[in-house]
Amino acid sequence: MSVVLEIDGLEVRTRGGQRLLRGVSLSVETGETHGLVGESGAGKSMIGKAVAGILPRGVTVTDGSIRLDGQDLLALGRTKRRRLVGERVAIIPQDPLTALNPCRRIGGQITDRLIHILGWDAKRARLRAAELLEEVAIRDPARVLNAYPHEISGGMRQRVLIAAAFAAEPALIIADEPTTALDVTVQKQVLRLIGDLQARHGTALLFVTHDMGVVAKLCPSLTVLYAGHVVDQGKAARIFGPAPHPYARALIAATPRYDRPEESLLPVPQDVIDALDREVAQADGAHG
Amino acid sequence: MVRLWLSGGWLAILVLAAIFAPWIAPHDPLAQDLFLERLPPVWIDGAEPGYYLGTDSLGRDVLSRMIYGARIALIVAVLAGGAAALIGSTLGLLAGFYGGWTDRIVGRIIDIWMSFPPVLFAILLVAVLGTGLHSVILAIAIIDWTRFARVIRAETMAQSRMDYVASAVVIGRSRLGTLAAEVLPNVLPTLLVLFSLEMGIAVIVEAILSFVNLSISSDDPTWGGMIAEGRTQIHFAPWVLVVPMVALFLTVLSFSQFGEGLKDRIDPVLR
Amino acid sequence: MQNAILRLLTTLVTLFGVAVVVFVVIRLAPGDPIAMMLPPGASEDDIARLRANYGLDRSVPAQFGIWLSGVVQGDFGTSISLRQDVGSLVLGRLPATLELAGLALILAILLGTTLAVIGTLRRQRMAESAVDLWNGMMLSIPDFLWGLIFIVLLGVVVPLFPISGRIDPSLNPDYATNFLLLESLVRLDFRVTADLLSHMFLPALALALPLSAVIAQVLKQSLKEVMHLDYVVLARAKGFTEITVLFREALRNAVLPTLTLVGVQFTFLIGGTVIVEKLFSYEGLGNLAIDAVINRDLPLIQGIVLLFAVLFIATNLIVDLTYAALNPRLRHG
Repeated sequence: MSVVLEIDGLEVRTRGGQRLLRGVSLSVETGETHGLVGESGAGKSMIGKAVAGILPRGVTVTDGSIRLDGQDLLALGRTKRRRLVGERVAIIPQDPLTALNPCRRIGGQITDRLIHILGWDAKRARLRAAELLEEVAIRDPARVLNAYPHEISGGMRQRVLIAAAFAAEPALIIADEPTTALDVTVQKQVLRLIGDLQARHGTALLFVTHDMGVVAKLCPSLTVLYAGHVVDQGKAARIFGPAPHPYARALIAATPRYDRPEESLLPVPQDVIDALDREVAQADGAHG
Repeated sequence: MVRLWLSGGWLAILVLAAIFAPWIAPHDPLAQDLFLERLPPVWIDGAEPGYYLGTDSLGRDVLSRMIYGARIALIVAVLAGGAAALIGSTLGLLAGFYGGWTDRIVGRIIDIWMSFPPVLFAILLVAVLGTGLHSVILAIAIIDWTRFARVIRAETMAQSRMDYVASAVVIGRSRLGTLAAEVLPNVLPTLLVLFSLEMGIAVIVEAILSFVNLSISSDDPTWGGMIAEGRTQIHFAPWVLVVPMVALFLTVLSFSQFGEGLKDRIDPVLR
Repeated sequence: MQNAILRLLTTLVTLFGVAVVVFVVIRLAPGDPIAMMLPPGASEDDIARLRANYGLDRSVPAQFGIWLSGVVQGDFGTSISLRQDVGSLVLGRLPATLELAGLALILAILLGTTLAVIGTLRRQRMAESAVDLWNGMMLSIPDFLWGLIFIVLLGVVVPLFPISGRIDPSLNPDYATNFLLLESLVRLDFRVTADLLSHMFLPALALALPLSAVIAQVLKQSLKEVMHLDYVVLARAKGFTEITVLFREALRNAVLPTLTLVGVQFTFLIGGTVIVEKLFSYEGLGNLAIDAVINRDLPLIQGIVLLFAVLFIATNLIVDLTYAALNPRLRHG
């Protein structure tokens, strides 16, 4: 197995100097699913955005390296980098309602990357898109390809986005909380779908979520983030095992369970937070 | 800040020139002298001393005509702008303050009014009212009151929802008294900005109308009339066109920049 | 379908209203158009005969009735000053004005879009404030002044373009219609096309500049909003260059709010042709309108104003249709 994505000492700051990621390192191999967990604001989405080169305005990578297939992305120019990422990486976005252009037909939005970045001819791209739509269990692909986003349901749109991500056979897929905007029953279906497709296509998957339950089902290895800082990293078996990091344990405790929804959720205890803050401050001090 | 000073400076010069025109102007703006026709400005060879900006095809002094032209431009700007402001803000205040039927009727009229392009409207009105300064002023006021009404109405609506208006009514002040005492002072800055912008528009409309000979008689020194005369002489005596054009350009730009500058200074919300 | 019928009906009512208002307002005008037609010292009898000839001896409602029944049959009366059929006079000039306004619109859209795109793509403060400054200038200077400035700078100081007329009289194309520009294109008569364009360029540009600023301003604002919507960000991650992303994903959505405004502004542009045509001695409707007003030519004024009203209504209709065509959410229904 080869390493697809290798991040080393990644630091991301806002223009004002606030650090969103403080020296994050991780690697994802072909066919592997790696979970990125943390509370909102922990910086987990920033990692995916930094890899894809779509950090928000005023936010930049200030240190570290991102290697895709061994190529240092940060050493490339903007256009070259965007091209390489376009060829090798796909994203499954968080909100299917806003991730499709309301003015363009679905078909074009799936195929434009195949045609314009990968250089396929239009006919082949369209066949491929139809094929993928069938793979994500859309019954009438021809109709959906010709439809506008407002003509299909939210769950269907998310499946379209998943199909679009897998269509180009990328080396890496970044799934950025792909289920948060969906209701619980649809969530399960979508997760199973992503898992199946990933297994079949052998794609590396970076799965960003705040939901420990999802991670437990989907990700053999994971990284736990707190305030842009890697708190724990390793095999799921260990972290979900008898002796996890206290913060990971707190996150697991804070996860709603489908089988016992009435059970009250435990917030992350204050002493755990305090310990984490000390840890982060220490690491910062060591960094300079 | 700079633009407030620059535009304000030019407007101040203009006002002074207009007021003291008889003392400043080197010649009678109407005096024709066929021996002195189409003299170039002083920096071009062949100029006659005393005629700083040259003369037109009838030998009239361009500088003096420009100075007297500023008079007419400013009279129209102030009177037409003032009349438009008076009609527009009165209706806007009433519509915004009372709401309901008053508001609906005023709103409808504004919509209808604004759907008609102003230049065409102006020409049609002057055709009806007859030519002359008073009809130019009247036409501008009749057309442009909507600019005031629209903004003042919205502003008044916003102000009327404020607590101090409600409390004034509670204390027992009459509705109209509240409108005058509480709301009016608060929309005054906006009114001032609009007035400055409107004066620029009035100047240009007057120039257009006198250009097509629908304002006062073509002998009288107006910038538009000078431009019309200069347009026919453009290849022989370009300065006859260029001088009033520059004056018009600076004045229109100054009024609008002065308005915009005021807007930035007094009310960041308006932007 | 029902919508379309309703639309048509309101349009007709609006037109009727415009016709009534214009008719009545113009009759209120002081001054006797007939007196201007006759040599001084004409007898009372002559004047009365001429009045009867033009129907001016009847009451205003009766005059309106006669005029309206004529209009319905396509007869707009006879121009008093030019002694020609108003309908053919006005329709003869219309193509010149339409071509001028059309060219101006195209220039405005090209300029405005370019400015908006530059302002969006170049994120440096310098570029943005340069675009803003330029916009401020364009907005505060009206078309009349732009026309004058162009006449001086590009007609006299650096004589690149002709400053009066529609076409070089020596060309004198013998065309079937007065859509000279379009017809020269169809006939591949490019010498005529080039001459027409060089005559139209300055007046069209003068009309286009203020509109281009409006387009640039509104389009830049809505592009700014659209550019960080999810699907645009996603398109960046697909590997497209920034400019492709802008044109393919963002522009179409950003255009929608701009469109309505451009419609309103375009009617102002059509109004602006009146003065700009006069300034450039361009033989169009506007030039005719001013002459008609100066000569108090009532039937001609009526005909022209009615035609302008039709143009405004048509513009609004076209805008609505384009809006629906560009917005898929409105298309099926």
